[in-house]
Amino acid sequence: MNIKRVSIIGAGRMGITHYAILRQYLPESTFVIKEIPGVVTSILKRSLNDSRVEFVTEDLRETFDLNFICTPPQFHLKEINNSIERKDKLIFVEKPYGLFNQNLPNLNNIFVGYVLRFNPVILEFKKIIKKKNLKIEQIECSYFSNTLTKPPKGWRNSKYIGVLTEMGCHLVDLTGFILDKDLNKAKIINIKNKSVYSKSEDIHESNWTIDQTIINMKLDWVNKNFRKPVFNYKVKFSNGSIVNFDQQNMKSLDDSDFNKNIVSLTTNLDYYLRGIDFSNQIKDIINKREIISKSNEAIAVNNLLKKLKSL
Amino acid sequence: MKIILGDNQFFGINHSDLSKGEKTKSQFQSVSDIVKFLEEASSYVDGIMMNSNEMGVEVINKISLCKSKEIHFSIPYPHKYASLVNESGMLGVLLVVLKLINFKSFISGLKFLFTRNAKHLIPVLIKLELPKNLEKGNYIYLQNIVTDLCLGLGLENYLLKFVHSLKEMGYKPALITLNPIFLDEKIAHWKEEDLRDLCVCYNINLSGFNVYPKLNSVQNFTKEKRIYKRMGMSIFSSGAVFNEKIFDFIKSLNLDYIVFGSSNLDRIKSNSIKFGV
Repeated sequence: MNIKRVSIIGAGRMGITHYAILRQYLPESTFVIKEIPGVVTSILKRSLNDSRVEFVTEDLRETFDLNFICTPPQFHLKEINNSIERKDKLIFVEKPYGLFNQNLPNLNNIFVGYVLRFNPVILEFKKIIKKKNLKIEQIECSYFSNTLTKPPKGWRNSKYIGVLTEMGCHLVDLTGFILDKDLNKAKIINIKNKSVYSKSEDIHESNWTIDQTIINMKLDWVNKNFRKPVFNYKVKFSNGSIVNFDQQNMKSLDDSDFNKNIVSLTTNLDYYLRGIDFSNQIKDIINKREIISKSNEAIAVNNLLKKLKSL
Repeated sequence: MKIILGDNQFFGINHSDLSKGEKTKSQFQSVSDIVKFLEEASSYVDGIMMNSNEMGVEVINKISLCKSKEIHFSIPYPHKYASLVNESGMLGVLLVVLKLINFKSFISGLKFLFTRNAKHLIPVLIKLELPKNLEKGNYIYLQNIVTDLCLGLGLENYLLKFVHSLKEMGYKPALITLNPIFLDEKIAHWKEEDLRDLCVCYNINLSGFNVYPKLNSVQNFTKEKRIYKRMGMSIFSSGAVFNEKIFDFIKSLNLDYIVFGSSNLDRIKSNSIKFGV
């Protein structure tokens, strides 16, 4: 697909990150960045002095080949509807896909930014289990960080945000991606949510099932023992073997084919920013769209998150 | 080639094995533990590298090294700003920075307020990150997350402003990048006086781990002559790969500096000998 015109809605941390990467992988394209009027917008406009980009504060009217929606989740629905009305060809929405109480569109040209799918260890794990035709019986997964050290401000401190929305959505999506199953089939066994700083949950533990697979999930984003977010999976197969993996390593005492380190999974990359997964996600959306989460998968994530948040 | 001892082992950072990172961090519970280790290790290396996290700043303020030893200090500490953005958004970060403008950074602050060009905040941000006891003449590195973001956004002029600001303050400028060839293309037209004092630090190792765009091209690039100095990092692939071939490979590249981390004094000594120092 020929991508000439790209729009980016929201010039926050993710919008700017995606813009920097897109500029390298789409060297002939031009960009329009939309942000609400204010100090930060006027600074960005003066600072990013580039003939390929235009900054606007009003709603867009023309059709774009690719529209990136990087606003806070409560604004996703409005921007998605604007994008559909403009007949934008491809729509990328940052995770999570809107909020749980919204009637979000399920269309073939809408994709959601669950970037951990592009982690080389995850992709290698999926490749091996498919090759060996292994059935997963049990998953224990966790995601810990020291992201929050005091109460967040404004929209970041609402009942819709919290560790499940910010970090749990990644694990929920990854679990569905690894199992290759519809998350709408998930059945909750039990949930424990605890607030430390925010109005919503900061620590979470739950047990749920999808078909015959049991999943235990632990989340904590107020954990001072972690310098940066770390996820961990322990997967038990029906043949009894167990594999542990995180974002850098995969190990199994039962099957040496799983003993891999990210060093051996390294690939070439034209431009690196923040992580190999960010660039690979951009490459997937502008090329084949094989790995990236589709809107129906993201809606299934939301449905499960709503139950896990006991909303 | 000079050898610099890195700091990842003190702060639990390991790009190839998270559990290893946690294990090495447990040896260093306090600033004093780190300072004591560095003062001992410095006899085997030409200098040390340190990040501007809270402990890192304290280490630099407390450490006493021989005059011949270099300090390579990297800024900013990304997680501090990431947490601020998570808690208060981009505007919140801006307000925190603006509150810290004092008399010395007044002119830069004024230029920023009139032009709204973030470039003028660079000297302010640098001063926020530097330890008060860091002597002039040492290297100050811009972390790769910032260098590479500037590259991606077409803001090479910000990198030049960083270089100029540091030189005015009496420090040597340096840039960490994971895109060394891209950076080289963008700074090729800079004046010789700006390049001569510059050091560029990037990943280079035998396994190609985190070497971008790919090992062959970065290896060839490293062998070409440049006015600015170059430092190789992740030379042991973050500890995931260790064999004797690494030493000959690194020595063949003619780097000006290499940096590696270790929590083991014997290993530091032995590596330095093998690198021919």
